[in-house]
Amino acid sequence: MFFAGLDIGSTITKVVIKNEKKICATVIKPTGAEHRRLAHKVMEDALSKAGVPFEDVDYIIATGYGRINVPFADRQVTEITCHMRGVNWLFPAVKTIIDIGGQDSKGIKVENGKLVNFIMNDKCAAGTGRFLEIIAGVLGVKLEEIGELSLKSTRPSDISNMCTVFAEQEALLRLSEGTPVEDILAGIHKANASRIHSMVKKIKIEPEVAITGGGAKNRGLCKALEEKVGFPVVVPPEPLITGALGAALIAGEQIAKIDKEELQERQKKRRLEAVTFFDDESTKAR
Amino acid sequence: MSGAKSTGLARAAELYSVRGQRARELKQEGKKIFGYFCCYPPIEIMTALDIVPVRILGNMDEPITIADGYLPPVMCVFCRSAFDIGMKKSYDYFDGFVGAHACDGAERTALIWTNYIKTPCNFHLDIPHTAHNSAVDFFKQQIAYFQQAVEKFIGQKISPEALKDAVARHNRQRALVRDLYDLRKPDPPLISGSEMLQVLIALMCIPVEEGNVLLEEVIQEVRERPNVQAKKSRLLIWGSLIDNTAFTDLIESSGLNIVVEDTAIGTRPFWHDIEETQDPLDGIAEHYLKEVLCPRTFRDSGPSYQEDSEMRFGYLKEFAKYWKVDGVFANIIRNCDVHGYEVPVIKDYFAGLGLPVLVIEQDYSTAALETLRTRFQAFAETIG
Amino acid sequence: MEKKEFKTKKSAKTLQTAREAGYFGKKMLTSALEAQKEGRPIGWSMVTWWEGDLIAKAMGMELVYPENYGAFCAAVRRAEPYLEIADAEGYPNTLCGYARNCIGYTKTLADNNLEVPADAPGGGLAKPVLLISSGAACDARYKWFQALGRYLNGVPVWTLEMPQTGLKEFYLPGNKEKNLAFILEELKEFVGFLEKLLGNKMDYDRLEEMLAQTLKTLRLAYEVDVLRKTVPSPMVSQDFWSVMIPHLYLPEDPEAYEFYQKVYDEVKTKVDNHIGAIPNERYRMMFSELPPWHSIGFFDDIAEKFGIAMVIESWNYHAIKPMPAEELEGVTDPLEVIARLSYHKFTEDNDTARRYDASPGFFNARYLQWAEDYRADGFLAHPLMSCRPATYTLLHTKNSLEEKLKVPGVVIDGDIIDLRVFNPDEAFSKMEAFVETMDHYRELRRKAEMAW
Repeated sequence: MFFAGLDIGSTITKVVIKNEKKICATVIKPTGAEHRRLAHKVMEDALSKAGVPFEDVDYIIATGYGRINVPFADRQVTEITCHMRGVNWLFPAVKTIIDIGGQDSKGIKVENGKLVNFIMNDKCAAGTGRFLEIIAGVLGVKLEEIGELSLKSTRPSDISNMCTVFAEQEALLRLSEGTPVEDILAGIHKANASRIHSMVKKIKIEPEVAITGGGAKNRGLCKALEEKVGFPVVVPPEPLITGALGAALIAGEQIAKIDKEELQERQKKRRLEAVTFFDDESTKAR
Repeated sequence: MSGAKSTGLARAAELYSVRGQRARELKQEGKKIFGYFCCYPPIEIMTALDIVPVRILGNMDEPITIADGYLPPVMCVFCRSAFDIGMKKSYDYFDGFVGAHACDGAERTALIWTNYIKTPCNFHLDIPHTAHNSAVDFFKQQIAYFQQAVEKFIGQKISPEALKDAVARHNRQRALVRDLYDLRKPDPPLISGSEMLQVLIALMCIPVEEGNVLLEEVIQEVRERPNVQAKKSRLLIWGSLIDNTAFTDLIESSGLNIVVEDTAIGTRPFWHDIEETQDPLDGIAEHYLKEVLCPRTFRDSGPSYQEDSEMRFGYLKEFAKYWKVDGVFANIIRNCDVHGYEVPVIKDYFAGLGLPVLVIEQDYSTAALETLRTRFQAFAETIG
Repeated sequence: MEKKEFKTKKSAKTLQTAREAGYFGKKMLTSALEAQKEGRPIGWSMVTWWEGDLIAKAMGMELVYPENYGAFCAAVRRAEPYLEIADAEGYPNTLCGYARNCIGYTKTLADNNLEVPADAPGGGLAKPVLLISSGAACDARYKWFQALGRYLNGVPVWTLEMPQTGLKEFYLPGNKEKNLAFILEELKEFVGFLEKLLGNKMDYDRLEEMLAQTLKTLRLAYEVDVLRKTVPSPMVSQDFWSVMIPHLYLPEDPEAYEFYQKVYDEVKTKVDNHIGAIPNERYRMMFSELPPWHSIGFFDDIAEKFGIAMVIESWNYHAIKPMPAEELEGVTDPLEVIARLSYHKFTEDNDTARRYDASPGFFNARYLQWAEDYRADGFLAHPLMSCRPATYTLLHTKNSLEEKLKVPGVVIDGDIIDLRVFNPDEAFSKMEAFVETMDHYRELRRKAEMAW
């Protein structure tokens, strides 16, 4: 039996294909606005990588920002529950998950493998990957490099403003004053970590703590967060896929709850087609 | 105009979607229409003079444009929206406008309103902040002034009998609403949160007798129809009001059934009957100041934090038990202070009852709703 | 990007007496700390415009003012950690900045077994036996104290009533007296409540004494406001924000009265000698609401660069106009005097509002009157991110000043707590442009043959 988790994030789409024993394939593809509808292509990639024909997949769960209208998914589950499940499978001792995505960040509390509480940032780029992306752009540094670069700083500069627009101005100002880029970046990471930390604090941070999502790939951010949290945090080997992995795990459980006939019925109906979006514009955009 | 007149839920849906329509028709027939802000102005006074009271609401579908020049963005978004659509002539059929010192937002908006939106009759009702005995007396006097102002405008006195009769008719409405709430007790509930909202808003746009007929129709229809609801986790909503079914639809399509809402459109105006006192104004003043449970009214503090919470929120424990609630959504319209200050307390209180609370501060805009879906779904997954 | 050089963040007060006013802030904090040492009861009070303070003080209670403490924490840049605590506690960050500061502070107090934490700014606020809320001005001022119950388990909250009648309703026959009777009734209740709480009786002689002193101080503070009508302005907002502290918080203190005598003399000397507070006064502006405490130096900058004098500001923080003699005729009960005094604060502009057809009295009427009396060229509206009630009416006031009196307004966002909202560079360029607007409107007023 095969089951799949598909996590359509705001910037990256991830697929995990599993069977009862192991992960058969994972695929991570950037999905900008124009590619978002093409999530089925990412699924195709994963299937061919796993060597599993589409018809053989028994259950598919879609999660993430784009989960709503995936025609080939059996069910949609929020990324919050999926991250929780994925992390819990990897690190059973984790109680607090900090997920830093492209457009939002979240805090998730786990107890005995169950989701007990969560919090999300409030429609603002501060505390998200987008924030770092904008600042990287302003400073002319590649997004992948800002974390490492920030770690070289000896004197993190003070960034007081967390509004993205103002922080951008502040970063520019520091630059014009001759502050080294690594110090500005260290300041930005500190500010971002502080923002995320104060949000997650609302649901009480208890060890162990895991960081997931694109932000977990940024070592500078992880270190800044770790300092704020006050104890070491764990980062999954591939922090981007915990959502898709969790979705695949839940898909595996669902199969057990459904009888064979219905499963076959579902399989027949399933179409590996383009994803539609709830907002018209993204749906129409090609 | 459709020929056959619809009834029951279909009628409620019509009244809900074209909110001023019935009032405009009645105005054509010569009735006077009064708009009022929030659930504190005593509508019984208006009913007693055959005035149709219409509750002023905002419009989540309409982007706020005009209000920007009058009410700063840090204000309660609901109030800004109400003023905005007022400036856009949504309420140009009012013969009277009744503002009230309910909360800062409602009060300031109402006071600014009369400077820019002109109505033949205006009254600003002061409401004390405490429910002390002298406050009730004072409030009664203010209601008496309100009554005099309306009498003068209409050119007719309200007899005590007429007022008692109006109280009885509105009490009847309150009882019917509670009967309807009872139909949400089964699991799944017999009526959805969106249907309920349509009915409640419909009641706030039509005369009380028409509302009572509507309620009887709806109750019968809901009792008799096959239950269309799916079984989902049962949600209590506490906090700022919700006046758009786009919001309740979103919640109910995210794995939750709304079973009771402690808001200014939900239980608050309907939960308690006005006592039929010798001087009807006594019962009216008591009811509005003591029994309409918006946190804008300060309740004297209890001897300990726990007892204070119990005194203030004990009714929510009853609600949770009665409707077999699984979780609570604390709805905060951005910049709604009176509810904002209660958030940690309400979370403590429900935690004591073993009920998780989802707190969302939102911008009172249907365009911004979809981004909330993940929170509701995840909350449903938490409590499911 | 060219970076403008701004003066120090601390403003240059133009009056010597204003520089001395800091004494009273310190006096309040130290008396509270002494009271704590002596085991006297401490109350936390909102600014109640004399409604509750005098009564509580006459009963032997020492009062501290968390609103003032908020301004203090912001000014010494210590508010932020408290805001973060309030945030983590789950209070929406859109609530009043002073409230969030106080909630954060109170949490640290509770976490420290209700002993003032050693590192608390300004010596901290000692544990209260009572919280005095006020229904006047805004909802935060009772909801905030109610919320403190989470940290001050069982400390009672008393909410003072202040009717907020509409303008037309104020003039309904008998309504004013009914309003006053209600306040009086509630004040009697308050006294009874205090007597029970503190276990002693109200000292009415002491109350009368304090009240008499208060009326004297307020009158003198008002006289200073009147002197400020002079051109060039002898005193500006930078001075007022310091000078207001004694009459707002300690009007019953004879030292406050002595202080205002000195202020009066200093301002009068300037008037007599035609000395302006700022050199080369070219534009006279009104300000509303609270200033950006941490950047008051901004006003010095615009004075220096454009000759802008802030001649008068936010009515709420000013002493009342003296009450007409008949208001107090035959009134012997000090509680009734207090009722009339506080009520006067919120209704004193009703006649003015009627004259300008600007309802209600406590919104914009005063600014309309002031624009004429103080010959204002412009109105600087400073909406506060985290003080909604201060902000609600600013746009409306700006609109009516422009419409009715051809006095233009400019809006510059800021806050009383969050240092980041007020952007001095941006504010400065706005003022640069606004100077031209004022020129334009001056011309309009001239063509309309207005008095200034």
